[in-house]
Amino acid sequence: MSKLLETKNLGKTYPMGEVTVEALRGVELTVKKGEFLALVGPSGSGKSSLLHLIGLMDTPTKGEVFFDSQPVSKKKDWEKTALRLKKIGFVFQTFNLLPNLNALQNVEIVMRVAGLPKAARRQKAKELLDKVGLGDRAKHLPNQLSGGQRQRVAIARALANEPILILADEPTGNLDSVSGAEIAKLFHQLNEEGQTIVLVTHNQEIAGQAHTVINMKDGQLEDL
Amino acid sequence: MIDIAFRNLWSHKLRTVLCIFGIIACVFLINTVDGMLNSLKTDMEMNLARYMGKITLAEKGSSDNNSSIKEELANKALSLSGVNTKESTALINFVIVPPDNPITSANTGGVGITPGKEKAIISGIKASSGRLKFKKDEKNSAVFGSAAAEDLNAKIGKQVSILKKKVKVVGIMEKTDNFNVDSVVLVPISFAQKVAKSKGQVGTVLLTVKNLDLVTKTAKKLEKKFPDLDVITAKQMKENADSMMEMPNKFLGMISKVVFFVALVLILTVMIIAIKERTKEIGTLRAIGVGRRIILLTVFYESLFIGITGGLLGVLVTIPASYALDWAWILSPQGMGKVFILSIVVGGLGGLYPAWKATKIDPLEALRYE
Repeated sequence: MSKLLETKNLGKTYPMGEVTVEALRGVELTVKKGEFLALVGPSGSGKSSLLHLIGLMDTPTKGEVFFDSQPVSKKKDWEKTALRLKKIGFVFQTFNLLPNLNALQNVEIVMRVAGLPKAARRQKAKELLDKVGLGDRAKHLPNQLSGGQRQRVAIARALANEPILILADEPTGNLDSVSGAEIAKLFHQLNEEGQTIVLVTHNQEIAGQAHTVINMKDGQLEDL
Repeated sequence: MIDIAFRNLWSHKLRTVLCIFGIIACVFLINTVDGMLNSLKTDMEMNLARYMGKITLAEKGSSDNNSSIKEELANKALSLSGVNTKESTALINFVIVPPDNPITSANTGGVGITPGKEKAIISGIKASSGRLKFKKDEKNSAVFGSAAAEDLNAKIGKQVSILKKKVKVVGIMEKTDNFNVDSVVLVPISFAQKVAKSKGQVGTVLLTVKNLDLVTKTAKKLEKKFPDLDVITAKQMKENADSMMEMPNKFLGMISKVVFFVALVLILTVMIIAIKERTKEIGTLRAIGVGRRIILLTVFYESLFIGITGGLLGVLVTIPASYALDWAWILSPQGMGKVFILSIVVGGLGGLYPAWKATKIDPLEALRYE
């Protein structure tokens, strides 16, 4: 498998009052195309900080993130925004659907911003909702859906622009065990289809689906 | 993204509607205040135009309605050289129907003039019926302006009661675009003296000079001859009018500006609250790759929509409300157009800062767990 993502000597410090917290200390991570990687570790170990940096939502204090061997972390804001739109799909712990849009429109929005024509994006959004098993809930608003259903809509949205990488931050953290298992299964299925996935989780079941599980401690990686 | 902006507004219906109501109230207020000011100005300018080349003599320090001059002094002034005697007359102004509000002139006003000198007051105006001239010895006749005739139900040949004294309607003027002309009732000066109980006295003297170049010269002559009277030329009238209008101008202008500011603060507050509430939502949009420009436009559209809707409804409400409040005379298409544009400006300006603020929301906000 070829390299999709690589971090070199990645570091991040945050000022917290008068002290500086070192969230990441020289992280060297490689993600290959088609890989399913789970980041586990206690709270405050730097998992989320790492996810923010490889998701181009934050800028490292030192080191670099490479996408397809291209350095990306120092790109301009609009360039990072475009990369997030087209190359990365995000799945959040709290689903983060837009409350005023129905399931179909929530999936459509990223395609709309990317400039896909209306008919094409509507068709694709329907297909994606079918894929996550919510074809019959397309017109439902987020508050008319269960937690598991919302997360499946969020996954459909993450897939909409055919990203090369899916990043998920505790995707089952807000779900009961049954829904959590369904989401874990969905991630497994997506990975089987060739989708590269990096996720942060505490859920053993979902971590169990991953090819690689990396434990994080004190801002550093520990292979399991 | 206009549809998203609409959905955002729709999801907070009550807040949106209340904010629009606020804008409607502001638009109504600005419309009314500006309308009043403009119609006052137009009114004054039209009246001043009628006094071009004319000189008024009045009791020192008095106004038109309470000036009192001895008749013999008036006659002396009227016989001065340089005065066009045909279009000059002694006058008595009196109120027939008082004004609805303190800032406008009487709804119907009476003017006593010397029979045969009608031209001094109504030159260039045609009769819609009857005649606009009194006969020399006529005492209890009256010529009505179009609005005055309507208000007092005056018909040619019929008797009408003015301040409990009967007059015969001998003429009705055509409608003009000057309310002060339309609302006037001309009577012979002897009748006005009876009504005003001022025998041997007149109110003011309106002198028309033979040609415009003589105004200053004649005014100086009058000042010398009648040191106890005010000699008022059209120029002085304009100066007086301007200084009289200075306070209302400042005051009403200030009200308009304050109301504009209130509308701006209202939209600004509502939009800032809306953005604050949607921090996580906007953070999510940023995280999934929505650019700052789209975020900016969406918020800007919301604010603009409130401004445009409030402005449009405000103008639409002003029309029936002005009729209901009996001040429809303040309405003008230009005035309403101006206020509508102002409300768009308010919507735009009120949205700028919140929209800019929204673009500054960090994508990481999406990940903050509440």
